Amino acid sequence: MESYTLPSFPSTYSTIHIALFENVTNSSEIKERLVKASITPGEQGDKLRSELDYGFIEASVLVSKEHLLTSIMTTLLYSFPSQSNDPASISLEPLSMSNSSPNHAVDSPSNPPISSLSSADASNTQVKPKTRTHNLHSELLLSLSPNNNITDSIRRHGISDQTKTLAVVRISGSDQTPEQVYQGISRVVKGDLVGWDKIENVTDWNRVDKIYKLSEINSLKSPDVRAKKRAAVVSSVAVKNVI
Amino acid sequence: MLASTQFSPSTCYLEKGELIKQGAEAKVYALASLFPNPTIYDPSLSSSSSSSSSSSISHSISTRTSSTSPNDAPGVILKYRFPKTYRHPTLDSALTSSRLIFEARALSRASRAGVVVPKVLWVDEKGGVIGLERIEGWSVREVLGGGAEGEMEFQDDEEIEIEFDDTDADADAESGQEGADERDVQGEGEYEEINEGWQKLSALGVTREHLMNSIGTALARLHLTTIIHGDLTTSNMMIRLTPNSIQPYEIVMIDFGLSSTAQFPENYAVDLYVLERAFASTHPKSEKLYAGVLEAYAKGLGEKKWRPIELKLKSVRRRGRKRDMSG
Repeated sequence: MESYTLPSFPSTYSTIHIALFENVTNSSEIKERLVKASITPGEQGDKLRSELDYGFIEASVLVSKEHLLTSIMTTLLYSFPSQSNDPASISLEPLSMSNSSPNHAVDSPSNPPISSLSSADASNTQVKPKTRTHNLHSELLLSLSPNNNITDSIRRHGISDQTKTLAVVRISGSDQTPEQVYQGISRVVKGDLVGWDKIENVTDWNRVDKIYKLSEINSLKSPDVRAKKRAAVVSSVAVKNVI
Repeated sequence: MLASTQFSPSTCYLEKGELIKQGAEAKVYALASLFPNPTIYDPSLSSSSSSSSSSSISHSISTRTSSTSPNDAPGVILKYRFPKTYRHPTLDSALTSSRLIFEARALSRASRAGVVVPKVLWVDEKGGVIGLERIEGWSVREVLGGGAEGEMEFQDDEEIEIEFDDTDADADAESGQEGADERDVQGEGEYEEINEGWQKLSALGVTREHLMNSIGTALARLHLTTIIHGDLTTSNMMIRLTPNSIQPYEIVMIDFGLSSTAQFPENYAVDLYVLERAFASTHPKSEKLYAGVLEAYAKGLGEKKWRPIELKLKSVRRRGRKRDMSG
């Protein structure tokens, strides 16, 4: 299992752990638990959800570790975007020119890409991630998907009954040690933890071609088709937020 | 850690990065990686292999990650389109983000079509920062001996020249061996200059003609996707060695900041014309070289698509890059 501390994002979401499991035997059980946790209300549901607070990702449609890491970056960039230095977009009143008074124009030469805005706004967005799905971990599935259909993304990139190789991701603060995180994961997943170099042996290229629409590369008949596909997939995921 | 009034996830990377180019439109930074070295936890060893974990971000970003996978990129280039104070802020942020988005999309689309371009790794459109894979190698300009950087060049406002510092590093590593070869220029004629990239390529049996052929083919492949580059110069084409492939090297197009989608043969012809001028202004005896590019380009594109572009190219040559404004 690998752990990264990302310097760019709010500290409560900047520690990420990624683990790869082969020969997973209980994927249908995990899936049922996920479904149950999501429909159980109240405190009991919260407990179930906290036990399963990981991203479970079908590893056979991952092409590389970089693919997964890029999707994590894309997710976090979506959830914690830069504050735009455009006053109009913040106030949500497209034509309110009063906001961009001469004062603003004087403020903005500052070096960082963002100019002033009220601190309340900023601190809010820092603490709470902006998501289109329930949480950051499901958002990760969406960022892996080339379109914006949430159900699709879960079906393709989420855990399924057939899942044998599973990538597990946790995005959290630094309050838990990697060992504690791993113990939490190992209580859920029954399988063999393997190193991330194994990921390239398990890729199901037919499915990857279909999901990321890579058939054009096949027709090139160049010898390094795999490398080109890996690059194309990474780029696709990276530009997800702006397609 | 974060200033309470402003937030951009890119800021810390820009602070850490090394400024390698400053243009009118953007600043370009080089960075070893977007990711710090991971802590690897292996339950069978029951203790983590590195102890630099969660405590702080620290400055322990060493240049080369102790790579656990061959996919660890050799480095990242960050292109920061800084706010332009001469524009109204609303207009400025709209322009910045739309240009950045165009660049990112073009790269992704080209890559999916099999054109060799840098991978996109980071898109912070509101902060004006795009992160790209760093291409190890030399620009075509360097290899052809196109004069020192910073010399006058045909419209060079927005180009990025990426790779000028790592040649030193490579040269150091090889200096013992290369030093001995220095005199051996293999009779490549009077415009041969001693440069490390060309030495390596010619050692692999690559000729200038072969190189021009590859450029033409790469360009044809790009144009077949209907993307036009918009700023084709010899500095915007990198040569990357590919030791594990049949071809000893590949051409990588960089800097899609001015790219767009073509609608007419005219657009492709202008792209070719811009490159032709870039060749003419930086490389002596370029006509013959450039003819090789066009030949491979025509072959790559196919007769049917090439004809109308060839016609247009002739008229573009007569009147220059800018179209007349009648329609």
